[in-house]
Amino acid sequence: MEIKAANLAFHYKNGPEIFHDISFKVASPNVFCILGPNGTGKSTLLKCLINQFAPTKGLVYYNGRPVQNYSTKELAAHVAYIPQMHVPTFPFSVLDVVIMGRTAHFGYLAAPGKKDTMIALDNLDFLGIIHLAAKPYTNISGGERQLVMLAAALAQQPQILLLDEPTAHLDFGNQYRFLQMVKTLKDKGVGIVMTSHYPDHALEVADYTAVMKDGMFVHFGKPDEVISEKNMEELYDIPVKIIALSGNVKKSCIAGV
Amino acid sequence: MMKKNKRAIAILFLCTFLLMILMSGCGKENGSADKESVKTDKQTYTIVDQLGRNVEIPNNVNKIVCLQHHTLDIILELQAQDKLVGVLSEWETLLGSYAADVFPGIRKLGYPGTISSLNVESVANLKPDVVIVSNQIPEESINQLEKLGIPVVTITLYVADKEQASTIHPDLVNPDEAYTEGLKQAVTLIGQITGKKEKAAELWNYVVTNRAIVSQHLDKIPEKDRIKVYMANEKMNTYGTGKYVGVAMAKAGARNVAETIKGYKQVTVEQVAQWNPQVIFVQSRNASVLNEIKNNKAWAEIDAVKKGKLIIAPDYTKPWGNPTPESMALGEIWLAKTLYPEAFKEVDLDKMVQYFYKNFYGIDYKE
Amino acid sequence: MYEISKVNEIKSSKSYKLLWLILSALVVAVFLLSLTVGKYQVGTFEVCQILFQKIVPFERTWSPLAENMILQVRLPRILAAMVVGAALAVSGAVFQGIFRNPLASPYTLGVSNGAGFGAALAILMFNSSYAIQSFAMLFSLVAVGLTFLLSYKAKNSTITLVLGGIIVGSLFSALISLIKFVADPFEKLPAIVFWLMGSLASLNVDLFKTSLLFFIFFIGIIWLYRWRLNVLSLGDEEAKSFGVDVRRDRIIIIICCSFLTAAAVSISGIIGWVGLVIPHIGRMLVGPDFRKLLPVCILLGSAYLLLIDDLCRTLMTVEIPLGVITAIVGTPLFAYFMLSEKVNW
Repeated sequence: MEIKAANLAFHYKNGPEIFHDISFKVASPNVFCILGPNGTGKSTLLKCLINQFAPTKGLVYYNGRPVQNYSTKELAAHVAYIPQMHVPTFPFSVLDVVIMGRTAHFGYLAAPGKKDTMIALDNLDFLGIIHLAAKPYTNISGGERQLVMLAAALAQQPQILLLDEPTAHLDFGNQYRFLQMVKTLKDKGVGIVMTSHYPDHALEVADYTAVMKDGMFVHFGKPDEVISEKNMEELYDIPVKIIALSGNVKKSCIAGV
Repeated sequence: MMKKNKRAIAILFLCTFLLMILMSGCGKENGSADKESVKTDKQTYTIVDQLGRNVEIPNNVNKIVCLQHHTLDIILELQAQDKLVGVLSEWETLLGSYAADVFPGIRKLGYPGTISSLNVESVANLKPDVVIVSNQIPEESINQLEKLGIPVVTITLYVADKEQASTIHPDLVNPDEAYTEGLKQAVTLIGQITGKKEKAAELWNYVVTNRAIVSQHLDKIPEKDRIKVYMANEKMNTYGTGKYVGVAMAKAGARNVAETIKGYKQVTVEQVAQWNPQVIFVQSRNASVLNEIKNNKAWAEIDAVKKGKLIIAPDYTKPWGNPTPESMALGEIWLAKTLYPEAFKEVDLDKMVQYFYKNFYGIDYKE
Repeated sequence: MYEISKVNEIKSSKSYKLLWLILSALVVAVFLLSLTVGKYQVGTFEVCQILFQKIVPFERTWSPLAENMILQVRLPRILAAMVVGAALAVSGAVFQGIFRNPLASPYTLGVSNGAGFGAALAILMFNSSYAIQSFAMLFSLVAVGLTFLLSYKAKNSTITLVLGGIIVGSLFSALISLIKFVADPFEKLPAIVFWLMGSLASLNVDLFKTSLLFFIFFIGIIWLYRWRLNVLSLGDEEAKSFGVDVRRDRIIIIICCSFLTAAAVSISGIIGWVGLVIPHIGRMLVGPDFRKLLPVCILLGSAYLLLIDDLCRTLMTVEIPLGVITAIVGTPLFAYFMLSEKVNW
């Protein structure tokens, strides 16, 4: 599946413009990582991509078809989206929450069956949180909750996955595990669009990277080219060094050197 | 997945079916054989109550539940209280404690309802032959009692066409006739049901006689000399036309200043000041209202207050929204005599009151 | 693939079988108990004979009065209490779910006040039960419509919806006060007040019979939405990304719940606390999953309101309004849940 954004712009009613002139095209199984400082409109952009907000200018296309032409259900069967933070009200079990990800795959008024439960369990297993399955969703940590939402998104069996700062609440180990998972998904043919605060993550998994500043893409391209010392210093307004590890296989961005 | 829905729909249909079966039992009266068995062990006759409903009453009524205070009053006047098995719970507030003087046993009766609501099972448990209710009782409650085979008689105390009969403040075309005929009807009905036909006739005759005395004496008072009267109640409420008090005032030669108002309504001091009544009177239970009027400067310039014509009506006058035999027989005379003492000089009201209480309630009248 | 044996372990659905059995037995027990209690004395054995006379040919030893008392007076009232209790509990649970607010109830959207105003207006203007029902339904929808309009014009979120509900509810409660003020103090006012406190004393059996289909229909529709309700109660954004058309489904569900509430209100008057307390007890028993919560609410709600109505008709010789007892019983119950931290929200 291919996602295409054409000249997107967005502002809230009577509000200032959040972003403008955003255009890109990514096809699965590529990984596209959007970097940028706080408040530049990354999350809003993702919401426009998944049709939660309608862009004030431009259109979003999936496989060449405008996103508005998809029904909510149809879109959910192909594209999954995980919002940044979720404050739960009711103590649904973790398993139930993950099964909710299956909603787009069965009849309008039907309830999930055994097959949906199995898919949910598989994804919990895949993310290494099967032990949480019976626990109330309200009684787990923020990081665990983020993984549960990811499991639910995977249960949607999407072709494209939109992730809004997926590593924000994860510990060091889980961040690494998450990146490995992104690679596995890529191998399975899933395309991913994610926002992140860590240039390292883009260097590790992304096929394309965009740098977003002041409501527009200031750089776009291969991560190796985009994430340069000069670009990063400009972006975050701090001194940055990029070092190569394990013989140029792995690169890392270090601030303040 | 859809299987589950089908199962749920099946369960719902089953529930509907079960409920329908249960409900089908409720709707219809039980077997006709039962009804006949009820009929045969009691001789009945049919009356028309004041809502125009046909009601079958047993010939021998021994147990009455009375949830209408005027009716209770009339039953006491006919001395049929031994037939009462239940009365409305607020009888003391609505009638006054004299009811207990007339009939001490009233405190030991069942109280299965109020003027406006009843507990069907409590009523049925008293096993009454007849239940007498006001027109404030919900229709559904009456229907339930009738389904149980308990006859229900509605007393409204006025005569009006069917549409109006169930309302408490009807737009009566001729309130005087409506209440006079209505009370006559009520007294006759109650006399018949309780088996006190003669006493009922005596009571009504006494009303007619006394009313004749009033109109005779009033002939001497020319129309232009009729006194303007205002009746004060709690929270600035007063009776306009369409209520019995208005009728009583007219009968007693008084001009109700609130005649432009319909029913029982709230008015303002300004309005009363504009009317400028010559006499203000209150029911005995509202005596405190008179003090309020006396102490309130806003009232000071009104004629009645200036001349000190603030009068508490004695208990026996019963100047209520609906008539009682007592208010028609004694209350109207009292008002006329109070307003025109000269014209009614030779009418000995005290003697009449004592006679009424002795002859009908069977007790002495106490202030 | 994950092993099926472990699935069952995690879901542990077996333990609920016992719960269903207990709850169903409870409802049947309360139903039979309610048939035997009342101010009119009928023996327990007689009640059973009357009830099963069509199946078992007993000799008629009971009086026709007793039979009519059981079949004409108690039975319809008992069924009405059960149906109204179930309807209020279901709509309470659903409102709490879709607004993700454990304190939501038909009140939150102004539905109760709207229905209450409609009914009071009908009492003032007409004198028919059907007018009361139609007006209650009409104005509950007007209330929901206004609430929606407010939240839509502002920003269609849960918070604006609840705020809109409070505004609309206050408006209708003011209008109810206005009606109470202009209503005839002797004639209409007692009827309106008694009705605003809720009662089944003057149940209109015919009206109840015709409304029965309403109740079953709307509860049925809500049942069909049970899984969507789960997803909706997770969050708007999440539900949407899981493929649920949040706006449309929420409107459908709210309309169903509003009709359900209005149908209940037009039969029994306004009864508070049932829609708040019962869903909480239900969630304590089976969790927030509507697939289990809805049946539990139906069973618990019907048994609860039936017990309360039994108190109303037996505590005193005169009838006590239902709403008074549900509040007296409901508030301490709710306070206990809150303080005992047994609820997980």
